[in-house]
Amino acid sequence: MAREFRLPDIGEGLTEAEVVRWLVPVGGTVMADQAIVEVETDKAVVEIPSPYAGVVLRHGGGEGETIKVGEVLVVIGEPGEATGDEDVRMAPEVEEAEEAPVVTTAAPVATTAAPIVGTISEEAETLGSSRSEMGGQVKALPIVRKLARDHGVDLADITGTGPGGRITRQDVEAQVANRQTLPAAAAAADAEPVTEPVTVTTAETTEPSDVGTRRPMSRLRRTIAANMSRSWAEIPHVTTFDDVDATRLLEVRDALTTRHGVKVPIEALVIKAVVPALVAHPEFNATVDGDDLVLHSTHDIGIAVDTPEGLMVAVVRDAGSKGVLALAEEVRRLGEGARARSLGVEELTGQTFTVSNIGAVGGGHGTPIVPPGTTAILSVGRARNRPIAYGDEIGIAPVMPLSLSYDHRVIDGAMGRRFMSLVLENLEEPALFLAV
Amino acid sequence: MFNLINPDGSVRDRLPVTLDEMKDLYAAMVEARAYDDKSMAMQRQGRLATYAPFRGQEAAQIGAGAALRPGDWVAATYRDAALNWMAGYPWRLLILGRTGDERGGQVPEDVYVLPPSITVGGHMIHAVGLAWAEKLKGSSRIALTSFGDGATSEGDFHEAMNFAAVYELPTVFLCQNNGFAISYPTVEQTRTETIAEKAEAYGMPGVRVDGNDVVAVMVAVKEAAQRARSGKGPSLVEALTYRIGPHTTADDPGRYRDEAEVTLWEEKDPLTRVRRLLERSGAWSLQWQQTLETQASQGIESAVAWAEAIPIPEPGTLFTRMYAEPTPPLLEQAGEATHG
Repeated sequence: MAREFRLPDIGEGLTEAEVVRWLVPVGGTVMADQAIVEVETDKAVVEIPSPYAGVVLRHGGGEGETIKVGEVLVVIGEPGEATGDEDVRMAPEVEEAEEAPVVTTAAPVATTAAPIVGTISEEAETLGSSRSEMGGQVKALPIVRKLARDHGVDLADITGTGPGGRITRQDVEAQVANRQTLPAAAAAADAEPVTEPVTVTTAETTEPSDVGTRRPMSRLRRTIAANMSRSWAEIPHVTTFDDVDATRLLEVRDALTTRHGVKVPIEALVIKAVVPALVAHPEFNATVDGDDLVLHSTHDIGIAVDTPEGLMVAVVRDAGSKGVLALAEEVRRLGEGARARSLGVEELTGQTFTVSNIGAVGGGHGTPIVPPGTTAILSVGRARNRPIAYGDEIGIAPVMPLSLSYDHRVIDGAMGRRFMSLVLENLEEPALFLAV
Repeated sequence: MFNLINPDGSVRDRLPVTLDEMKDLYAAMVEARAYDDKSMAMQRQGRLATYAPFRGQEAAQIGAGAALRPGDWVAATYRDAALNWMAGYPWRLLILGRTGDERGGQVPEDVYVLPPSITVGGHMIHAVGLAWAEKLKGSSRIALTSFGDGATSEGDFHEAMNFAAVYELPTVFLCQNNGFAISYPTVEQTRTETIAEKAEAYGMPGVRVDGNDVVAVMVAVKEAAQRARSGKGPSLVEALTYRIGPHTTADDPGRYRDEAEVTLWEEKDPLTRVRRLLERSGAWSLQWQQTLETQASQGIESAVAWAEAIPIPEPGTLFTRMYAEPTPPLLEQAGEATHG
């Protein structure tokens, strides 16, 4: 027995909601309390869980359509119930749709119940678009109605191409354009096939697949994903590769360790070496804000920390004011804190430049992605013994691979080179940065 | 900040609980979350009125509840269902109340919990009154009142704290600092760095604990309760936590807070860290987890079924539940309501 689920008032005094996305297609099965649809109210976008377990027989509206509180949101049948067209609630609409005059949609109206579950949702949408034609209710958002009124266009003359046959802004504009250029041809233009053919739903969305497994990404993973996509989409990246003779750097680290009895992470020395270069080239310690470039007064250096759940960036505040030992202590503390998930939001956001030590996991060169809100990132690989030329001689030295990515909107190639030269000079001779 | 269990499940110190007690606390948090999830779903289905979810705050509530003795008073807020349940308030009545039926507020005789307070802060004063009464009676009961960071900006907070301190009343003030007074961040509504330090101004001890650490909360509240019970007066416990969900089902937190902040706090989830701790101790298995979840869900579902089977009250009953003997104006109104 099919049961209707009517849209409740899910806020306080709401009257309607717009369907943003159906999470379960017509024909799909749903468990009780499983999210079935995402709707947008004037307060928020919320997921609505199904009150019943069963099979989705009908959506009360297509994506983009508005449903009033109290109207049918979805019809759910018993588990296993067929989605067939004998459903009483669908029947009248099918008939009326067939009576509708001159349905211009090019979609070959899926006449009989399609045997493949995956296509049934399209069938329902086709029906939906026909439904809007059958006299009376023309579907259009208030703003589109106003646009039509302003141009003296009668919505009844327009075939909606939006979801569920809704008339979109483009439909009205097209109508206006037709009328202006070729008044006589308006009808003909109208009769042109709607450019929304039935798209083929890929089987994977509905058919349980036997290839691999699907798992939801953790929130941390989704945040990383969103940040990476944003950076990659917004920032034109340039990456330069260098190798540095790390003999002196490693000697200094070992000497510090011996003297003070503490481990000095390589990041601590790299940060200390980079800060003078950031001072000399403040564009590397900056944020693009609209048409402005904000040059930061302090050097808050992000360090990438590898954790079981994903990579986190912890921030060494005002690195320029700290000595190497203080930096070492801070890098250790942040690393442990990030792995124990005990850092606060203020310790994990707001870096002005990032150092990523991929050497810890054996990394060499790479093309790091600039974190959002910054202009550059330096990745440091593992130092390995390599042949190296000293004048006319060949020697063996620990060579550390470096990869610098920067925002090419802000930093030109020449400036990138000058910045990197300074960093390389410092790393090759730590006295240069330890003295400042 | 006082903390015993790290978010990764490692421990700072020897825990003053046995493994079995730890498992019980975890099971209680799982059940509380099942109630919270179910209530959110039911509100979206039109079966509950506005709901204020407590996801993320389970440890603060279960830990505090576990620190009390039977018969101790609890006066708490609309977001404290888990605490009220720990103190004996049945799920079915909490659900009934949220369906809009006032009878959900008819607390069973042997349960010493006030109906959830919707008014922000008013119930802190009620708790002090209860503590005063118990002191006058010479009983060993104490009163715990739970409230949010926003309530500390209310005048009631001052009155309750001051009165309890002056008269050395057996009260535990539990502030669940969840970061927001609806949309207003804590840092923008107080100049003090912590809520706990406000205790000093009233002459009582104040402590800040990791509110997502169920054992830390339990230990801190136990200490405060012990102090109250032994005649040493009130204390303030600030449980630093975070409201993962919206303020209520009518709120969109995306408009006032950063998603990244939510992510960070989800990594500090009170249930996850205990699960990790139990895993480290070899006391957790997927099968046990599933059993817990199934049992919790069954318990909640039967409470829902009970509440939804209660017939909607007759309009006339609206006038009979306030006074033992109805006043003449109420009788008049009742007549109008039932006879038109």
